[in-house]
Amino acid sequence: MILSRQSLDMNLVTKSGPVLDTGDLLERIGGDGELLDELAAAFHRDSPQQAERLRSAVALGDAREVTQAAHSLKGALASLGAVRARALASELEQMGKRGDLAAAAELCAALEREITHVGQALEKLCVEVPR
Amino acid sequence: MKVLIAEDDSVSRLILSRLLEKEGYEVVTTTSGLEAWDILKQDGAPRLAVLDWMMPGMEGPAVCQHVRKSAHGAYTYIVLLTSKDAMPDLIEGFESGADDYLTKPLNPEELKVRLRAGIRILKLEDDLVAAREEMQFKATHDALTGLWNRATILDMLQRDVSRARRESNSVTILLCDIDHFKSVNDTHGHAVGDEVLREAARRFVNAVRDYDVVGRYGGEEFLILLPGCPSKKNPCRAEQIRHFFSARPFQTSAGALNVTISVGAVATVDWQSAGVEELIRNADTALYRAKNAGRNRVEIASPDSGTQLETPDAHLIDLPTRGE
Repeated sequence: MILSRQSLDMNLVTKSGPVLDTGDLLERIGGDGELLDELAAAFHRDSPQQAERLRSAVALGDAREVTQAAHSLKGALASLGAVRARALASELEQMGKRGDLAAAAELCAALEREITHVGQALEKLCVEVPR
Repeated sequence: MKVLIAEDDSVSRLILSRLLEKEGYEVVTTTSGLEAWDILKQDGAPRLAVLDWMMPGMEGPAVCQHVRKSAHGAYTYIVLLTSKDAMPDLIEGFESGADDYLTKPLNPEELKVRLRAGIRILKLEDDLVAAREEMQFKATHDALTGLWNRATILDMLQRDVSRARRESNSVTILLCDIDHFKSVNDTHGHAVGDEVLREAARRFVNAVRDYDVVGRYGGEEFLILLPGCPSKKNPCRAEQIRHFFSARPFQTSAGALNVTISVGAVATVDWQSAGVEELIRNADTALYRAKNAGRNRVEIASPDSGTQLETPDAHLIDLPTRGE
């Protein structure tokens, strides 16, 4: 059973769009609850390290490393349907490519907060999706 | 069907591998381009590969380039993964040797049909390689016996003679003709004649060493090359082959037949300046002597035995084509 997109979005919608596009995510993984658990576990395991890597790169002003770390996070966030966090990671990647890190620290902090929300939304979804 | 997934992001990798496992693929995963290249260059590697464009160490297009440059054995069908907002230079991707690309996040249905298209391409490639190999075999082998055909055995003779002279070695050439083969055809029909030819081929192959060569020279004539076989051993080896050939009757659909051969032998060491055509002519002359002396025997062409055709226009005489 796949929960309807509407009922989940009602809980997760914030003023600038959903943290997780759960309908899209569940459709892409075929409503597989076990896979959802594995994805949540992988995200909880890897995202703190990836965020840490990004934060250090921003602090050191290493544009190349910012580009790579942001790109890597962007891939995971895109696969999860984390629309807002993905957009932030994408913006950071572009900054890295341009070599302009002036606003990167602020954006990085916003992304880290958003990643926390994504983690919470994933946990909630794991509980809600029947298996 | 094995498929390689090279993706450094664990979330995307998990989704991709579960999806393909459910589709019945045998999934191999790696997190870096370097590892992907290590896997793809091995024997029995997956022939389908889904590679993330941006990976640490070696990026997807670079892996493509390595795979295409090495081009060992079977074709690998490669799909690159890109993110849709920062679309990399697609021309660069295709020029690196990629077959297709997909944007992330992946649409599962799209991925499935694109991989099926890849499998179709691989199947076409396999069919083409098999057809080429079959044509190659047919162009060099005799259809009835599976032995080397006339053109190929003559090429091999030329090559072996040149090599033997360069290395101060000898090659012995045996021209073997099945005795009274015409009467087998006349008495039992051509189908039984064909059975005899096939069994003859089998016996010749079993009678020689791994590095000797047997070809069908004409109708019931066979040419055997014995590299490194010195002149003094000629009678011995040729006699062994003749004896082995007729040691047991041939079992055919017309019953057991006693089949023998006459052999004309020539060793290059005895004819240092003779070309391939002259060597074969000398073997043929020896073969006629064997026939005239009662068949089922070996005759050796040597300069002392008067078999050499010392005519000034010997080069004008055509190669023997008896029985064709």
